[in-house]
Amino acid sequence: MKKVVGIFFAATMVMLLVVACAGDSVQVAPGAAEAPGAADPTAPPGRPEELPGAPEEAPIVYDGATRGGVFIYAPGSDGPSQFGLPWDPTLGFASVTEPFTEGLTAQWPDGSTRLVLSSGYVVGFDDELGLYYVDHTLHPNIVLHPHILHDAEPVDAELIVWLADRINYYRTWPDGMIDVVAIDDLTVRFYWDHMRNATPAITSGWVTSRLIYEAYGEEGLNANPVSAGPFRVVESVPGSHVIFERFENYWREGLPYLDGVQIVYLGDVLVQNIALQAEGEGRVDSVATNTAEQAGMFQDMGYHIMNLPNQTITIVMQNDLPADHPLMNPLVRQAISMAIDRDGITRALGFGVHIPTLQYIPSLMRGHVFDPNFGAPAFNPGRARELMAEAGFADGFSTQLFPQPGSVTDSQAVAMASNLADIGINVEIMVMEGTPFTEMRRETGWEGILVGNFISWFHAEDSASVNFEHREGLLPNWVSLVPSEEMLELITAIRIVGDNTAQAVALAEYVLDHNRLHLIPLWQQGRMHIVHPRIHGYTPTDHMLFFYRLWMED
Amino acid sequence: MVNYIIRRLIYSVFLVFLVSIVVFVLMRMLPGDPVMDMVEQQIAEMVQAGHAPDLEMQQFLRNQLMTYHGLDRPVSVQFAHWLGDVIRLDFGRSMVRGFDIVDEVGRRMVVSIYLAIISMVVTLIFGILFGTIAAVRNGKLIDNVITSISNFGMTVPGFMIAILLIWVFGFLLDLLPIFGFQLPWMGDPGRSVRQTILPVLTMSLGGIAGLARMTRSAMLDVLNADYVRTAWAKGMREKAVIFKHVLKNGLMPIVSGVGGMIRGLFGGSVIVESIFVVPGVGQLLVMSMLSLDYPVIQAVTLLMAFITVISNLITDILYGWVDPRIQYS
Repeated sequence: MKKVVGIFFAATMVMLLVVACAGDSVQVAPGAAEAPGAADPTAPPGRPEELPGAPEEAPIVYDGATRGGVFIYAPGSDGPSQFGLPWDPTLGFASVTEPFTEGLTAQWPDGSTRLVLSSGYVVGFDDELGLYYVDHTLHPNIVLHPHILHDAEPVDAELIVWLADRINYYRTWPDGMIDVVAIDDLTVRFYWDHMRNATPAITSGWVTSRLIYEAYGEEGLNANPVSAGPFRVVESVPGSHVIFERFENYWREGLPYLDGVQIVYLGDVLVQNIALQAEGEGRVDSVATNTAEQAGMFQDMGYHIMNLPNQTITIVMQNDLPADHPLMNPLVRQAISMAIDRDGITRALGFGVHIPTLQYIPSLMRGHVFDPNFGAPAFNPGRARELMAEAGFADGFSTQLFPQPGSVTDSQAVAMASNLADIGINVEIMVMEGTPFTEMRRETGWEGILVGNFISWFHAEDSASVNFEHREGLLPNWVSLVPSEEMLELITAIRIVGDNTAQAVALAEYVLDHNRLHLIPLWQQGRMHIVHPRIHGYTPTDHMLFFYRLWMED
Repeated sequence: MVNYIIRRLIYSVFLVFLVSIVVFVLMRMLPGDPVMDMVEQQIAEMVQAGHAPDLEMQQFLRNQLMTYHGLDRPVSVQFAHWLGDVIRLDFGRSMVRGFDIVDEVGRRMVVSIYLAIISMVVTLIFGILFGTIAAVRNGKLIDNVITSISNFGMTVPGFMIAILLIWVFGFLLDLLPIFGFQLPWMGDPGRSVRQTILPVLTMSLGGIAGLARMTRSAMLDVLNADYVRTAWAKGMREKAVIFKHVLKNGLMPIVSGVGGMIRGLFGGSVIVESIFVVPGVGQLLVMSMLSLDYPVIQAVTLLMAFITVISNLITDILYGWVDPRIQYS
């Protein structure tokens, strides 16, 4: 009898624990709250001149709010290198590295150049050499974080040239960069054989210590992370966390206002969820997530969701199928676009953070058209059935639907299949693992409807190059569209230096022309950040601007 | 005895060798191409930097990486090369992250061993204690409570215990940090101790439950033995009977479980280290599996296999030490 009582007692305790856990999860039912808004208007645009000058440096205004504190941020993992490679020739996007590292320039999300260590630049053409040049002038008195060999190693033109040489040694310079020379102590000249929209932003990567490299090599740099950002590394445990502390000799006087930043690599979603709600030692202030369900849950709980829609889920139409194939028929393509209930799918399965769209360029990026009628045909199943009949497929046809793993959920694929079945297109959903899916996409000869995120729209110029210029599987990670001559001209035009919004729109008009419909956009999504309501001064924006302000303001 | 140990060591080497072959071949049979992933990353970086790599460039990069990592050779040749390097204790570098594997595994192994030793001590102390109490108070309320909680501890998976502990101690009570770890001699010892509590509890609870049940069962057998009854009849005090006669003899079957405990602790570290963000070998194994980092996976699994066979050997030796009737042959 006593044994029975004991077992009952233990079982009751277990049940109580389980019920308590379940009670917590009841609050997290997904809702259909509106997704946060669009771009921040303070992002400096590029200039339309042929040889543009530097943008105005955005003043940093302190509004007198709470100073200090430690911001704790949890990205999912630390990636191949905690601080990024020291020789990074690519554009320095603001990210978790920015509290620590800085370069001459960085980019705003729309692709325009942001000045960091550079106080300004001049673009010119050297008639004698027949080369373009970009002269960047450094802010004076910039020093690196104190390190084992120097308390205040200066950042000057010579260091920038040396960094550029290291890039060339390790990775080769970016396409078109010819030479880098120091003009004086603070001015560096980058020679280019051509100018593109992003050229002024491409410089020498993040600054780091020449002294450490020369004494201890690249491994010495990794062991002693040094740069010129507002926070310096005081503790780093790979795979666990990094603790940053305010850099007292930061070149922007009086900044930053935060006392420190901690980055913790929380991979487990349940732990992330608990940490976001904790207040003590286990708290985190922001979590990066790709999971709409998680973001939607916290949105319902009153947390801020930063949702930079830099990805568009699209159906990609194959242009190399036989001419009589149904999917080559523009009327069928229009019918498919009209069959998909974007609003319904995002409302029911997008957890309030996916945004239905008819355009492939997200609202934050150059080239997005703020006209609800622009883009692919909108949801209209009745008209879709008529179009199928006009196309000669009144009885429909069968094909396969390939949802990209990780980007399109099984439920979303089922919803799409249901929508398509309504107009007579019967699809077999092919659920695949990531690697076989990618391998299949690389191959030719498959047939069906491919749906997923194949486009990372950081800025229109590079995206156009990546997604449309290269074809026939040259870039295995993207989809071939086999562009026409007309399309290639549009792609070339988009490379204009300065504001290329009009060119991006022209390309979008071509791609989304209803008689072509190379792409059928469905909804926007992107890397999301869940931000605790305790964070002062939060405004809905993208995560780059958010972190930039956080590092620089309060 | 010495001959026995030598024979077992030779057998262990053979066993580890077999495991390494199986892991080596299985890894290459898994779907996915780590080199192609690296090529795609390089191409993406080149595109972002303004280059326009074509199909030939892609193939060139792939071939270059395959050659660099030795993946263009037949699997048997790759294995022979790898084995030759391993015999020289050269495990190479990570394909994905570039670190020296011996350095990285060594650094992380210290963390994993540190947690495993503490967990083992906690498990032994509390497992034997609770088992003894339950056996001595057989049929009483305390026995029923310990038995019921042991059943709970044995049946609930480790990751759920971890989440429950995080929820209770990190969120509800706000007593302990729920992520991160640093060795006490590498930073703030106080913080390190607090960071150690939840991972160790998670790793120990299952073991404590199992050991308590095992101890209880073994001691009940001994408690009913004639010599124990004789000890009681002689009027010996309870403590003397329990510690001198019952516990010593009851521990024999428990010793055989110690090897399994060591294996379980290292196996469990894979989950615990991932959840609590502990930079140990288990976390490294998970990260490497996700990125198909062959050399790291091979090194870590080889290490795990080595730990397993050595723990088995230690168990067998301990068994003979505890029970002199056992003859090694």
